[in-house]
Amino acid sequence: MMDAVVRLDRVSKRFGSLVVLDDLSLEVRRGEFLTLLGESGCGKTTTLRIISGFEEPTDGAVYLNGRLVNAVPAYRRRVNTVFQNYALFPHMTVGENVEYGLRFDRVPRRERRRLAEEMLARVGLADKIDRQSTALSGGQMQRVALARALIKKPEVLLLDEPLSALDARLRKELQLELKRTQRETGITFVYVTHDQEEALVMSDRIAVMERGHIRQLGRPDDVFERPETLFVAEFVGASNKLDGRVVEIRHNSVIVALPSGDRLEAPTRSAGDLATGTDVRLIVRPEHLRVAADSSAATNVVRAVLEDIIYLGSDRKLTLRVGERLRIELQERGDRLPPCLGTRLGMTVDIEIPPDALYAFRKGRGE
Amino acid sequence: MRQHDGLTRVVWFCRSAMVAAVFGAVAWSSAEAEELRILTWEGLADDAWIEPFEKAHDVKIQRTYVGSNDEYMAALAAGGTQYDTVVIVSSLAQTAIKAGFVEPVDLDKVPNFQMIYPEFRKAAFLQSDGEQYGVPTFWDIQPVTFNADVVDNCSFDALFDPKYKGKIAMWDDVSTLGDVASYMGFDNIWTLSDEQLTKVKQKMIEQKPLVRRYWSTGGEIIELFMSGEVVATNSWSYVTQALQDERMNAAQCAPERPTAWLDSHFIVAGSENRDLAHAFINYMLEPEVLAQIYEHSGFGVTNPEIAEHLPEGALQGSAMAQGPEFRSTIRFWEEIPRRGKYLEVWNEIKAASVD
Amino acid sequence: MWQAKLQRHRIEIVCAIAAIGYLVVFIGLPYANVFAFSFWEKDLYTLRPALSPENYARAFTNDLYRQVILNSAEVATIVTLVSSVLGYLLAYYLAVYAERWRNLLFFLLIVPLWTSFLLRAYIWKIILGRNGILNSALTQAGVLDQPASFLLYNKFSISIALIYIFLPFVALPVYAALEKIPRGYVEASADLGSPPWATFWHVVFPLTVPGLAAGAMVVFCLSFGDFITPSLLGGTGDIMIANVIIAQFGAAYDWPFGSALAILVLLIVMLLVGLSVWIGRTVSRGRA
Repeated sequence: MMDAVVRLDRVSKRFGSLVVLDDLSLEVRRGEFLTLLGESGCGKTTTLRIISGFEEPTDGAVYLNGRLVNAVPAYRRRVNTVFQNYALFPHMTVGENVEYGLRFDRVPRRERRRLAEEMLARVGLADKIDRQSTALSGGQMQRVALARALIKKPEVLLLDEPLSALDARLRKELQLELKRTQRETGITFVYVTHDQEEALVMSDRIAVMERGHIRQLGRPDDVFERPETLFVAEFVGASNKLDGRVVEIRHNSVIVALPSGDRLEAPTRSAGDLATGTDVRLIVRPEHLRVAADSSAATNVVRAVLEDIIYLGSDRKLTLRVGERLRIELQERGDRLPPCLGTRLGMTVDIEIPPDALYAFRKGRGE
Repeated sequence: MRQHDGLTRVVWFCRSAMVAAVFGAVAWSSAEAEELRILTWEGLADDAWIEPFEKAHDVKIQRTYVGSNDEYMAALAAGGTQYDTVVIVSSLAQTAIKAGFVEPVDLDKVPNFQMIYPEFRKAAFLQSDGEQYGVPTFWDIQPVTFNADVVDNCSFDALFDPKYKGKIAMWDDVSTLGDVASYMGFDNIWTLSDEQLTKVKQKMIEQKPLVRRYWSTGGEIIELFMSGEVVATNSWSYVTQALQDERMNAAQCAPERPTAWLDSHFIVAGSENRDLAHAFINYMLEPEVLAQIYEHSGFGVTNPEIAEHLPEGALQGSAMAQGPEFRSTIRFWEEIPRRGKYLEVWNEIKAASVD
Repeated sequence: MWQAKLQRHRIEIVCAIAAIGYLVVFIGLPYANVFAFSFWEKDLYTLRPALSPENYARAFTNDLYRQVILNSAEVATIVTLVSSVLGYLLAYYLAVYAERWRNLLFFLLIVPLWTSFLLRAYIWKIILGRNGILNSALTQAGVLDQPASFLLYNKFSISIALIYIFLPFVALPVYAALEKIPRGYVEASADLGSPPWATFWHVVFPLTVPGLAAGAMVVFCLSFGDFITPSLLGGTGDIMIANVIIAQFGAAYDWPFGSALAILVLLIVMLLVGLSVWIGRTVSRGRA
């Protein structure tokens, strides 16, 4: 209990008839990097704004360090935010921006300046301290926004899609930087993003959100490898989707028939409610598929037409067609693929799907 | 191509406009012979007395009206010989004469001249080099207008009476300096020395605590009286008249040595209808005509004979009811050679702090 | 080659011609004319071209002109300060709180601008006069025994009319500036621990200063040069510099001297505006 820095207890948020958060509960552990992952409109930013105090929950309780803070205004919460568009004050220099929050902690002017220098040095912008904040590049603004928030030594740092406006390379670079900063400072980060890769790279835990609910909360590998719902499985990581119907129930698995006639065995896991005749969707990651060795007697094999091979450096991505319409992708290290695969474009290959890699979810009706 | 068309059209339009202008000018000058063109105040040229003259002389009178004294000078300066006669106020008479805008009158052709008050006839500012230029026709003093409900004893003194503190108004004009200078006993009210001006200024600064407002338009002073803001001012007869028309118990009196304006007829230099112009000026002095103007506009006129053409007591309360001694005390508005200096002093009075 | 260039910059060229044309015709020529006139000499009704410093000497040696310029500066300062404060508050209310009433209030703010300046000044005569609306209300309510005369014909009535007339000149640019401030800035400030008033002082206000300054400057210049309001609502001692200048061009027929005064006023206003801009910059730099 005590190591929950932030606790949301059955929080709902409604704007008129629009339900943004629906009875949501969440505990953020001290010192962790927690990511709220979801598409826009899923309620992740609203969750963040409820923690920071910019929004009041319609129902439910918000605790910071075990103290109920529903009625505490944003400026009295020891929580700081890195905004999506940085929100650097345009009429102030970089240094003034960074030291701004210290005014309200009664830090003397000189000390403020010293701390700002220190903080800017940490994000590698020591030389920009007297620059006008509007004269920086996007990545630099991002770092200044981070420094401005961190200088307050917050209990929790909230980051609202802080990297979304940057280009891909810079984003990767800053992801690692943010993660490192979090580790070094030990500050709890609550990070909002719609980019599942970003979430996987940085987070200690990920909360996958959809329509005002948390669909799954767990370590990245849990969420990635062991999705608990169809939504999570589809949303996290590139996925192949194979629709079919349960034709046989075994002890710990089901047999699913695809429209192409292929039959696949999939473990049932928690989903014990898959009766024969249920429409299901099978989810499998491209990297879990293997090109079967010739005349191998492996189970769970589908026949597919090799349509394309995409070169990805050490990896190759294969585009395959199963039956008439279904397209799936396979990703594998180049040296593990059979030789001369290029010559088999347009021909049939056998694709092996290890049962462990398959997830079967009942189709339709959402969650 | 289209641009070209447009240009052609513009050129064509300009050309035809020019042609029209030229023909118009020709038409204008050909009509000249049967026309007498007068520049005057509206109200002084009503059909009631203009039409009989037109019939008698078989002439068309072309009337141009002007709204202020300054406009007369501008119209004369710009108009060349577009007019035959003009009415000019006393303070601009010498300016017009010196500028050559007007020419001497032949008094033999204006027999009615002899009917004019002798005190006005030979005013120096209407003459130059021994010749008569202006024929005085209309005049009025600057009276003190007062609210008879409040002020019992009318004179210029009332304007300096602490009894009416905060309820006095003064006309916002340099000629008010003349009023006050005259009241203070100066004779050369339009040519005061610096020293004399300083005295007038001091007098008016002393008066300031009593003054509610320096007013500038007739409408404004009428409203000040009506709303009870003020009870007395140096003024125009027209203001008193208007207040009485509004059923206010207003009256006016003449200051001891009043200032007055005098409008005179002049013949515009280069007029080609000199005989007709003289006849017209003579006609305007006819008692019957002036009596009508007096009734019509309330302006004083220079021919005392009008009394015979008016009902008994019609002149009551007007400056025309007064005798020759009174008229000899009148100081007409004259050209102020140091107008800039006067205005500066007037502004100094206005800028002086009240206490 | 140059034809292509001409083609490409056609709009730019048209704009430049319009701008230069405007500057020359409406600013350059008139001021050059006034400046030239200010050295001329005047003889009764004739103006003579000359290079005489006499007009300026006269303006400097007579206390009158210093006095009326001070009068103007006093009124302009009062009007600028009060309309800045009130205009700011109004704009802030409109931009931040008004919500449902915003459009209506905005309309009410703009509507007076559609009526004539004269009318807007004159209306205060009706409100403040002895038989005016205010006096009637106060006497009827028993606050006053008899109508007060201290309401009208003094600096107070001039100032109140000018404040009323010029308030939108401050409120509108401030409103525009407030509208442009993203909510993110305010939230970021609160997020960093700033109470609402400090957020206003450190973030919102500095971002509206350019709008406020622009508005205040316009108000200062316009009220400094106004002559209608003092002549309608001013008391016996409230003559302002513009009234004196107008008298030179009208009653005194002394264009050269009037021009000299106009040039002096122009210099003084430019000096004051320049000074306030400089102070504003220095202060905002020192504070932030």
